[in-house]
Amino acid sequence: MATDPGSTGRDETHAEANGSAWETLTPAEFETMVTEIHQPLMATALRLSRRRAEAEDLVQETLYRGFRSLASYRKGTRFRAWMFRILHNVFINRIRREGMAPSAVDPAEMSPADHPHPIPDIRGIGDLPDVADHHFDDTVKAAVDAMPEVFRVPLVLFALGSLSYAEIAETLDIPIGTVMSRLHRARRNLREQLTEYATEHGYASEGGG
Amino acid sequence: MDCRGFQNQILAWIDGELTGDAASAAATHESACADCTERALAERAFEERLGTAMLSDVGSVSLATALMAARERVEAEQPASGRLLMLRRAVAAMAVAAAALIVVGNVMWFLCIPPFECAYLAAMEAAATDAPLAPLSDAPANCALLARVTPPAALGGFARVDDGDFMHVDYRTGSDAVRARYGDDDLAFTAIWSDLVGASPSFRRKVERDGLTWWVTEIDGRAVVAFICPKTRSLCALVGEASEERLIEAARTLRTCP
Ligand SMILES: [Zn+2]
Repeated sequence: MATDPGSTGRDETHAEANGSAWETLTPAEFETMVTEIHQPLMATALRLSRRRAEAEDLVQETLYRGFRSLASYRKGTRFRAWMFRILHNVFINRIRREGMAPSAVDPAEMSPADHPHPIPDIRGIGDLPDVADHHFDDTVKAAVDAMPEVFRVPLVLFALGSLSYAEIAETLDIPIGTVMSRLHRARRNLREQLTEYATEHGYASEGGG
Repeated sequence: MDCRGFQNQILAWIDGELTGDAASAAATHESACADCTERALAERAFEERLGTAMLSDVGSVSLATALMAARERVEAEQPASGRLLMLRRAVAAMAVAAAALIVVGNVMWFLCIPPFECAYLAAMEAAATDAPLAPLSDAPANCALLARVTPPAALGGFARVDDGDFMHVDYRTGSDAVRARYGDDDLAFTAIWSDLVGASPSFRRKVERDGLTWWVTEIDGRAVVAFICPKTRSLCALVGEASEERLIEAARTLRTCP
């Protein structure tokens, strides 16, 4: 398994120093694989930083660290999870450097898996808005952007990074139960807000929800 | 498991995160309960729509430029002779030109413009016919894929004809897949489960049916119906000589994923 991506200095000798040499990516292979995930990587950076210029900067730094840490990536492990972990490290380092404290965690959410509030029935929204409905898209993004970081980060790693619960837990260094709890609350919140949106815009189906 | 139990775990279920007894119980309940089946379908469609919404403002960002800047920064940290630096710059310039070609190629590929056609769909069609690289029992590198995907003995009322094989599916970067053949005298098709996550095969070949997204095309008289497995989020497909409608009908049962 690749470890601690992008968080330390140059680690080209990592594999041999560990006495367990593994096959790593060449720069050309890295570039090809990055092409596959560039869009979700950029979208995740946008939702993490909420500012375009900063998002581009985050992706740039992530690519640099990816290049620099190629020796720590083991071929055959999930490249996507590795890159999104680097992106998250870069993001967290930025926050720390700028002296911004991560948003506080509600103690109630620390009790995992037991969800006293089930998610609302999404069928209440009725027909989903067309992909050309940019107002719906904006509503979704605004709802995500408005979430506290503790919910927003796992949500975007899940929805845009396609990371599994276990990969998110590893990336954020929190228990998997906490990941489930935070994802549940984030997605419940999204559903509630979009049900309101659907009601206001006449999508909502009668009797649903 | 009752409806309440199913709905309490519906997100973990559609995310493919339930395992063991919990997964079996959810699958059993879903297959027996029309209301929960409908709800799970709605949740999957909603999640897909959320993903589209969150990707909608990415816009065009030049990856080639960003990659070159990152590479140069790494190289600048390493001591190099002037001659080596010049050589590296020449290689970098060639890489930028190649990247530009890739960008153009990607656009044509995405839009299914010849000679690219629909590369993912064409790869699926090829995977359905090409000889396997490795038999099922002799592909340790793909154990992880097989652990996730066990081709069921029957699919949509059609029995499996023989054991699934491992396939190397040749997209641009390569990807592995498991395939199995199903059918009877009336309809025969190959089902393919790939490990390729996050693919959107084609803008032009995308169709919506009953709230589900499919990518369809016909290659050499064979219909290809691809979709994203809601459980693993990876690309799956059915390929056969039956009509697109019959394949979609069969693929519906596959969307609940073995
Ligand atoms: Zn039910």
